[in-house]
Amino acid sequence: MRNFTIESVILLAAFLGSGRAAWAQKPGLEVPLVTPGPGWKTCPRCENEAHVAEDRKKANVDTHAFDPHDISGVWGDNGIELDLKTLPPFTPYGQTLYNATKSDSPEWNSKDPMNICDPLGYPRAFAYNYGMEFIQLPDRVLQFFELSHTWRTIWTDGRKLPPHPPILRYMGYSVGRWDGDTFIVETSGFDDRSWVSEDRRGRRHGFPHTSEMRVVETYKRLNYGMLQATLTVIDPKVYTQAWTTTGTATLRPNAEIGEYLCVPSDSIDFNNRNTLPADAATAK
Amino acid sequence: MLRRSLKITALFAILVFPVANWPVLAHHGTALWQAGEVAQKGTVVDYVWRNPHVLVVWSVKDDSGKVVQWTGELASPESLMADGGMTRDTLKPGDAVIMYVRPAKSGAPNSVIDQIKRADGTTVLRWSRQAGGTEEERAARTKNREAAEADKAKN
Repeated sequence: MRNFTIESVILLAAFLGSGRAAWAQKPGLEVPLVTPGPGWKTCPRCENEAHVAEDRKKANVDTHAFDPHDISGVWGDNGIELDLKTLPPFTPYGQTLYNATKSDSPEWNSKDPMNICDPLGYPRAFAYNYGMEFIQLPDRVLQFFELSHTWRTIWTDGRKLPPHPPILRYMGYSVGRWDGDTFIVETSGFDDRSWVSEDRRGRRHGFPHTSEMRVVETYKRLNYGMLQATLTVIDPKVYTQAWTTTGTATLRPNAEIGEYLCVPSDSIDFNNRNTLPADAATAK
Repeated sequence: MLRRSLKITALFAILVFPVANWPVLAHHGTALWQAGEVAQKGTVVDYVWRNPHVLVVWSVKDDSGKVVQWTGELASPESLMADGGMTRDTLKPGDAVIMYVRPAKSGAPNSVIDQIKRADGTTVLRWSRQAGGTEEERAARTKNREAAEADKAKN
């Protein structure tokens, strides 16, 4: 019996310590890089970590010369998730809005606007985007997001934010300016139907905002291949303090934005074919 | 004795890696799926290479000989290119496959796909981020599966 127990413990330890097993390891360079063809690049999400590391090494991203006032390029993989450690308490009204986002099902977030391809809006597109690209023009910076295949315009021609815009926008109205080597973006005029972000703690809620939310971002190119970003959500009706997230995005030298459109008919078809039948709460 | 230990250990491995502890990937959670994984030999009926998630439909004969059509989800096409080099041509109707899936808690023939092999044993997709799990948990699942298959082959 003692030997039997020892054998079991040894085998269990082998199970627990087998993270190096080939089948369990994350995909690497053995996976062929998929591109549309010669001269075309892959999309930011279409290459695994090993290929990304190899591309960045080939591009000498750590030592490559760079202009600190040029943030153009394809950045990141999936966005910078909002920092839950700095999430401030809700106001009573904010708590009410948060409660209203609660899923009808304990098993998936049935109220996520993304399920039916409603726009992610901003700053959710900052937190979840499959990669993004900055393009700098003389009077504006364009930011393209892979997820939802959408963009926003950050005006740098000196205009001010509209105090009372005639129509509210999912991505808001954005203006930008340089302060030293830091690019500062201010955004307001948000449509309040989007979420700031989904709440990944259990996936049953979203973080709400009002149309009075303001978002302030900073971007600083630390070197050729690294972009430091901060994002602050200011919405006193919902959050008792400003909510700041800090993170970095990495340059993806061998990637170009693809076409991840959120197609309503495809999303509805997907949910009808697999999510809803699998949900015990709705399948009955 | 060793085989007995293996069985006990495999069972224990299943018990100590409940789905509740698997981190959630992508924007969908993994709470819809059972903890246990099953392997199904089947024939591809449909391969839907689209966002938000790729779907595979395959037919399986159950123990009574009745043909049941199963549906399973994978990650996005973009993620599958990264994780397995898959493309829109990787699977086609009529392909003989072995699907490793976690079935739906609801009991419906729906699932999340963990791995795909062809009937000859070659691997189509060994890593499915949609099925969740840390590297260590994936290692345990893989080892558990291989042990069960080896045990079955011996018997």
